[in-house]
Amino acid sequence: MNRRDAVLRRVDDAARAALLSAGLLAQWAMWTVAHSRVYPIAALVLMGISIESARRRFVTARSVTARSGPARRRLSPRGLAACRILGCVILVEICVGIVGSLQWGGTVSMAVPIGVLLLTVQAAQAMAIESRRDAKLGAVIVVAILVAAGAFATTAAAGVPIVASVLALFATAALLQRGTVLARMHDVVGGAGAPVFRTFLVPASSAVVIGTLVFLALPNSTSLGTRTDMRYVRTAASQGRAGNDPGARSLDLRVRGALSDGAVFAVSVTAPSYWQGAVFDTFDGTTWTVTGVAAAAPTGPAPDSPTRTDTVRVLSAQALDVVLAPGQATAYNGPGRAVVDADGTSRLTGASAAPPWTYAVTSVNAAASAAVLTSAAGTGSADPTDPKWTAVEAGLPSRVRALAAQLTGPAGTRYDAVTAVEEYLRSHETYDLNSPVPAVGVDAVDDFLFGSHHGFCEQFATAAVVMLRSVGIPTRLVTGYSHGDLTSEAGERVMRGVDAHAWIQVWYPGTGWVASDPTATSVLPVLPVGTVVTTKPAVASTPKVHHPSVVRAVPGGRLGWLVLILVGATVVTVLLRIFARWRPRAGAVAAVDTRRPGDGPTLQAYLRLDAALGSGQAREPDETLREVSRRLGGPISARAEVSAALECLERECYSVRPPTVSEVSAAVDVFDRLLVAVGSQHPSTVWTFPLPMSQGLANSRRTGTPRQP
Amino acid sequence: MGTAVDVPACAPVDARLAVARTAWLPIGCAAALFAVAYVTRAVWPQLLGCALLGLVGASLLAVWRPLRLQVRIDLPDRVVVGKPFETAVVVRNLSGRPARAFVVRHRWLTGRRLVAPHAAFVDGLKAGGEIVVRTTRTPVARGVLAASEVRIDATAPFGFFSRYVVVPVSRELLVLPLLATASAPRVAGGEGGGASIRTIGADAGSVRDWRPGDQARHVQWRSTARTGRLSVLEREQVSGGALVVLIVGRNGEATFEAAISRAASACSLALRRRTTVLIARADGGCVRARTEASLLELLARADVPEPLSEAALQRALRGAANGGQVLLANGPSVPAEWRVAVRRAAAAAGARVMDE
Repeated sequence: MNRRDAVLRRVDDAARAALLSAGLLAQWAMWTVAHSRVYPIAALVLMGISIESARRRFVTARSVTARSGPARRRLSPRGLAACRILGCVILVEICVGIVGSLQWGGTVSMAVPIGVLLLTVQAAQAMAIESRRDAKLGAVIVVAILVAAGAFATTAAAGVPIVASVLALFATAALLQRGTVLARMHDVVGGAGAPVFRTFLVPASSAVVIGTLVFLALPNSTSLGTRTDMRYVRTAASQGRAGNDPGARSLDLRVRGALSDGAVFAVSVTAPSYWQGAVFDTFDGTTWTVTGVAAAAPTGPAPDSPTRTDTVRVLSAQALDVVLAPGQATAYNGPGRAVVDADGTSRLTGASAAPPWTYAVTSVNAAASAAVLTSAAGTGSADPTDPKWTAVEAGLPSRVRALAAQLTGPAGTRYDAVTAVEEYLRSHETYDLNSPVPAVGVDAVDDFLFGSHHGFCEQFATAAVVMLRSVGIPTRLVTGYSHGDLTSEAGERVMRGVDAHAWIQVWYPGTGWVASDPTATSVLPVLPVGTVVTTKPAVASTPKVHHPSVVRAVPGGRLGWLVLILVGATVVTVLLRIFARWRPRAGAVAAVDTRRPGDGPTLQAYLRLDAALGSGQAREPDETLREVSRRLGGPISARAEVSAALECLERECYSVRPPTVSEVSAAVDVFDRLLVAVGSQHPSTVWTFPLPMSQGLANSRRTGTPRQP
Repeated sequence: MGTAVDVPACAPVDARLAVARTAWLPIGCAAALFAVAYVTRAVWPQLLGCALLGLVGASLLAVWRPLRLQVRIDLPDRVVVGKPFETAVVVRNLSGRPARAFVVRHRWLTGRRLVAPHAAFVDGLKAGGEIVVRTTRTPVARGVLAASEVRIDATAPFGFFSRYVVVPVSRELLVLPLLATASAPRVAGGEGGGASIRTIGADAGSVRDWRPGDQARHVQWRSTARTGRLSVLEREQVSGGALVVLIVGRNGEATFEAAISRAASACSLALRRRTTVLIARADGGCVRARTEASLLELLARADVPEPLSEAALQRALRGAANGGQVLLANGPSVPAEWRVAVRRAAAAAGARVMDE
């Protein structure tokens, strides 16, 4: 092995090690973002695959094509690798359910299925690395994993592995580029020791310095956070939907789209079903907005106001910017700082803990019986003086006002008026999550009541608010979550994105803002007056002890078992493959060095010649090299020389005693001369050369270091 | 083979900057990541984008300042097919700072690849330092290599930028044909037929089996003892006429090149026997090879792809008239009818066509 081969081998080994390090660090970054057992398993799989593939030398793309055999009907190794990757991805898609239906311990996070998908692609691609170009593709996959980790990161903990992985990728890029250059060289001249360190140390350091300077020079770098703010991702499905952002300051009734199935928070099963977030006060015909201004920290409850204290366990990875409570929050005990604005929305700032985290909230629940509400006086000094609670949009069609007057006219009390409006909506309008979007310029309430007659909670609640306001009843729109899932964890009510809901609150003199739900099929329970429910404060709460079944022992239940079995089967398969390669071959001579680092130089030279051959010079599939050698000969290489070179190739591939260095050099020289001759020949040359080596020959080769004379 | 001749060192040249096509990929990806960071207000895409720009910046910084290099090449003027020869490229760094790793490539610019190009990786060169890149290569076919170039590429880390300098070398390299060691056509005489005018020379020709009529004093007893058969030493038979060599064929064809090798051997033997050797040109004119060196040079430069016309053939065969010989060195592209025409013309001129 000459100096060039030795340096190239060291550079390639270092590049593989750097790529493996970058891949493992990227997996660590994903693990910090979303804790899941799949990441440590994937790390072991990646290490095993990388160690196994490191035993094969990098080959050029032409050599890979040549080794695919003379029959082009078969898939090339690259095609086989692509099929393997595609098969793995399809399998993962089926098992994991990339649309987000997988449950992991009650917490559904898209980080896990996306991470599993990327890890599968990473592992499949690692199995197919044969050339430096494949290794560069592997680096691109690592970058994709880092991007995903950054997208789902909520804290700065992901920074360490991300930065470390980027540094490893710098080294990988430098080493792969150097290996690509060296592979085309015939010799390496000059230079002292440690070529590997010289290759990547200075370039990677320069890249780090320059990257840091660019980062500091960008004007918005210091204002960016470690959490991806999905609120500002403008998509039709997420804009203005309360379910995706409980603290949204606007609610556009024209937005449609699916809500996330991810868990947002969990409360006790005995907690109220309705949990309010934001209070909207102003409607312009299509969009609700919150104009409340943050006032002061919540104060203690009024002496005669029924209050309750609940413990909320936040499960969402998305930061919570509003305190969710069964009523208006009056006290908050948890991460961050809560500030109540003038309209009762409790804004939360600084709560950037990783889920799950817990807070306790004391709220006022102004619930009252029907009798109390019926006896509540109507308009008067007891009503709030702010006119916005009875203001309607400027362009409200008159028929809406007429309908409202028609419904509330016969009602003697405010409660009866509210009930009449709600009953009308439930009986005349249809609940439809895919209701048509009103045309531009059309009032959403008018379109709902007189046009489409289809809508969901936002349309129902808005129509109720507008109609009640039009007859002078102070009403406001409230968004939050309702009912939830009682089956995920025993003793808990888990609120998910799909549980997002909008309802109304009507002002009753002497009682305050009382919730009411006009949405079809929704029934807002009315609690007896004076009922106060308190739970243990968050500080003193003890975790509930469950005794789950065997199926529930694995997060995700049955699906989780399926994924674990598949991952386990993959790991076992890889280990068996590694073991099969390392097992000593039967009949091998004990003294033979069984370390086969890759293609020998003679085979490499032959494959170079191989790749230069054109069609029409094919060797018959059943023709041996010795038979082919009889057809060779010419002025530049005597027949004896060619025969000797082919014999050297045979010994390098099959013999237990490899050829000497001088024999290898002579054989390489013959093949190189033939290669040049192939390039200078007329297309109608009478030269005949051996075909590209059959796959069987390539697979059964035994390579090694030529024996020193 | 000719002696090595130093090509004078070129004037110091500055390397030019080249941008790889892949350089735009990280810049585009960085822009996309910056956009994502702006929309999502997250620092991680911004960080990755800055890392990509760091790669590009480090690559550009490595080759930003130009290098001043002086290049000299030691190159022979004549080589033989199949025999390795050595070239040396000397690179001196005239810059005031060390040069990073660079690649030295030497290749000839002709259409036919008679000698493989060579590329060597130089792992750095200190300021004012000099390095010699020696290569041993083997020419694969005869011919003339008019010009070559030395190209030095200083590829930046990560491969996005590079600096290169090209130094032209106008030294001609002649690749002489290899003399075939066996199966060279015998030049006239020995078998009892052939030239009408023969003289017996003093030089030993070859050993053959005894035939009735051979004199006992010509018996080669050493060969007889070795082979067990009576062997006779045949003296040189010198023909009165010249030897005209008709070289027709496409350069590079294996059979044609083998025929030239055998013809070279035969002509070399003829020269030693003081036979006049004439090499026919495409127009029928002949050039005399007076020495073996000139013979090989003429054969190396021979380039007659199409068969000679009748007039040219007639003109060429005049040199072999009256007892001369004609040696055909043809490729498979030459039609058989032309060979027949050559034999007919040779017979008419009184010359004998030698079998290959």
